[in-house]
Amino acid sequence: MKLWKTFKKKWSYFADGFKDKSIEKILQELEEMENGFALLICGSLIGLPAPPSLLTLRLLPYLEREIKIMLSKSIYLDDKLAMWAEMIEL
Amino acid sequence: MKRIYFFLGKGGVGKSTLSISLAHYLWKKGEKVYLASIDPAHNLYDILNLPPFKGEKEVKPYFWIEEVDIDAYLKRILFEIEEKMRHLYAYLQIINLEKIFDLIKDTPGMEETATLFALKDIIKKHQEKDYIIIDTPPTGLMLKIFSLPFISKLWLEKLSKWRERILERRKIIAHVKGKDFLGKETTILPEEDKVLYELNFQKKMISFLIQLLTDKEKSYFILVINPDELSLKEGKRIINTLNRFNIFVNLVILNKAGLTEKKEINFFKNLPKKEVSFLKNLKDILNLTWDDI
Repeated sequence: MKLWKTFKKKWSYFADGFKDKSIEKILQELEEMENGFALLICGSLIGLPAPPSLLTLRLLPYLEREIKIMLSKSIYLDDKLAMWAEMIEL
Repeated sequence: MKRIYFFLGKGGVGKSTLSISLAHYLWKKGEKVYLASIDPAHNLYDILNLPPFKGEKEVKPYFWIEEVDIDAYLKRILFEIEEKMRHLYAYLQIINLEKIFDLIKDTPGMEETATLFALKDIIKKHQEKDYIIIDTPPTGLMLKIFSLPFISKLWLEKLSKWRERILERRKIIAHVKGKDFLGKETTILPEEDKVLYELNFQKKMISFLIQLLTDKEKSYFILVINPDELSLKEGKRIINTLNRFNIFVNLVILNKAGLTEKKEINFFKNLPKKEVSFLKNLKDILNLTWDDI
């Protein structure tokens, strides 16, 4: 019984590891997409082509997560190459 | 609603006066008429010698007039957004949001979009009237307002698709790691996502306006010009720009040409030579027949 419990515990570590690995790329992709979405919405602030301001302004109350991601990504922008290299496991 | 008339043209050509004349004519025929000006520099009340008032007013039975206060409209929209942001972004409590929104109010493009929102609202509100007559701002602003739904549509479609893809990925992650993995406030399902809801809401509004503006039965565009080269050239620009969006001018009115006082419609006999040559020019430039003028 004890052996079975230990096996289950160990297996759950493996399973979690597999789960993490399986969504790793999707998570990175999601962050990039959320960053891009926020960049589009706030694009006029940095000179990107942007949708009409009032339309995007109406979306702003619901974009806290995306804006946080965008800001954190912009902080590490100078290390973008390293981030992409990490993504494709160079 | 039987029809909606839009008066277009360069500033000072007589759009407001002619829109009032048409409104009065239709009202005299026993129709329910709503006349609105969406020009930020209104002069409907001045022409009619009415004291200024807010909102619409039934000046005669079944004759409503309104100078739409775009500035107040924009302030109201921004206030609603500001309140939502204050409520949802906890850390914004310490920032003076009102001052930021005061600045945003004057950002380029705001006025046009607010006018568009206002236009949608007044048209929806006055659907039961027989005729809606809209006196538009001069060319520059008017073209921006009318091209906005078409540009916005493209943006909204792209943004919606992008958002749907984000939600798809969130769903996969939530399925594997649990629904709170991305944070309790992060929405996963499209039907719960307020961003997608807002995008769809705006798409509906834009589609309504595009449908209305391109509906040849319901919408009637009247271009007002004066017998001078500038207003003619601007008129041509209006026609060409609107054609790109499938909006077609139905009627060109040559105002201030000294024709209104003549009872017989014999153009050439009564017109000075300069005006006859102008009319010929107008006919050629706008690709019209003599019957159109």
